[in-house]
Amino acid sequence: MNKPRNILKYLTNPLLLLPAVAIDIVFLIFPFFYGLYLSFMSSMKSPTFTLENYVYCFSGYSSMLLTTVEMAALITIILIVVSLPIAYFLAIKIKSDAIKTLILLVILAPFWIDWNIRTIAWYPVFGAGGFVSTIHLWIMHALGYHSVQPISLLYTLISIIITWIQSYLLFMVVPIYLILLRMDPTILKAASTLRAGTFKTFYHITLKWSFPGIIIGSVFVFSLAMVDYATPILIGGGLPTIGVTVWNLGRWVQWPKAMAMSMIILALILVVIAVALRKVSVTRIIY
Amino acid sequence: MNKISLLIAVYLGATIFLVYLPISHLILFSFNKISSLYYPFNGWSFKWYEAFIEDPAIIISLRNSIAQAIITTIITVIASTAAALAFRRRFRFQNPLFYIILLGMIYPGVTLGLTNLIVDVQVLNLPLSIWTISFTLSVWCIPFGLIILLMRFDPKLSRYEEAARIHGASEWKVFRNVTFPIIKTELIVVALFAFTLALGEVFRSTFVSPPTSPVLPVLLLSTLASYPPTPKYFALGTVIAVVSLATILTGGAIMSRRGGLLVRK
Repeated sequence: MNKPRNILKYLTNPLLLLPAVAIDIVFLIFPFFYGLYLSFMSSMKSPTFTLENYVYCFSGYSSMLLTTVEMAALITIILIVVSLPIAYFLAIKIKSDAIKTLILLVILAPFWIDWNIRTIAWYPVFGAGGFVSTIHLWIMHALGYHSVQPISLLYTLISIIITWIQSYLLFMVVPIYLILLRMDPTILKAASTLRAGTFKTFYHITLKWSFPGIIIGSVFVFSLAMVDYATPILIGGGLPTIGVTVWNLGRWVQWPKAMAMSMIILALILVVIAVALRKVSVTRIIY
Repeated sequence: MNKISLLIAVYLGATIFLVYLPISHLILFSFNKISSLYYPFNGWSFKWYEAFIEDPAIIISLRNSIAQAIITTIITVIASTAAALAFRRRFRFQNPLFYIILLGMIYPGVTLGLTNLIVDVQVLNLPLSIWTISFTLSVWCIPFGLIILLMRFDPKLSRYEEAARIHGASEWKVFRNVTFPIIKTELIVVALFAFTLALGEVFRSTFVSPPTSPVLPVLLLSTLASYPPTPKYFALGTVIAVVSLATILTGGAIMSRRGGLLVRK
């Protein structure tokens, strides 16, 4: 009597996993392997095994690769510093659940504006004749300088960084916030009872607790920043980054080279993820 | 509140100010009388709103975006719900499969789009369409859905299911009468989230979008990269912002009726 039901029970889990895994295999894993194969081919028409695509990437673009990695690392570190107080404040200091959610929604709301438009919305802020420029003029006039040129922050590293802060804040705040939610705030009280100073408490307790969140957030931000091509184009004035390069190569149908560059990026990101996974047990957190 | 809390509160205010600085300019200059994005503001006019409504390329791409987002949402909800239900029990290959699904989230968008384009064109000879976009985007959206569901599953759910099974219900009946009503709210949250993600996505859609009728973000990127922007796009952005905000607030209201996603349960 029980046999048919037992078989169904064995089948249920694999069946449940089938849609997600099938989609991943067809649209992620198989294209990846095809791309990997292509990256070693000399051209689409007459495929012969070659390393010339990788040589092309490393010889012509090594400084660009380095610059992109530096920029991605920079924004990651900046965002860690920027997000920690926010996540701490929201998770620990605000007691009311409703206000927590409200403030989070307020911070995250701009995320739901279309990426490109949100990026060009910075034009009136950074450009000559924009917000920053006008304030700068006021200050200069107040100080007595009257023939000052309007400044434009557009197409500079500063504008890219600030735009990125707005774009990626979500990805760093939310993981740290969610992890800190699990911390019992009375630990902090206990620490102060035992006469630990503010910095010691912060360093030994809060920071250690939020560490998994910091790692997860960093993986997100770093990976995203490395391959972002919309922001460097719109705000950076076409600053060549890895993402922009792959986008260009893709547009010019230079697929083997685009694939080689993509594989390099993937390898870099996988290294970052591997390092992160050794510090954090993601599966334990999620389930 | 002690001094440090006050300091952080001020800092939070400054961050919110920074984040809303471009948004407020977006809204303000969408009503600008002249075609300028810079100070001084010239007076109020709705002409840019009329302009983008009358732009056929924008309207068609908007329609494409919505269609694609709906399909992506359906795929994502089905796949991530099923997977989340499966991950509640221990089974072989649990961790590797979890990482494979999660890979979709971290995988560089450019590479995902480009490889899918190449496979579609070279290997499968498949024409690009809303369907190619939707399946590619769901690779990215499914991990988000999975994590949201796993973190929000009621631990008592499996007990209710077990109780139903003991009383003789079949697996399908268990799902329909016990599981589904309990996780209904979470499914709505996942759907809203996936819809919003898919609607605004540009990095992956760029390559798998049909070149003659792209989705809105793709159209915007190619236009904005080539021509100087006019307030017309600010008007479009404001409308999208209002609609997205309404969607998210609806989702937030639904979530808070059941305990909220972002707070301690």
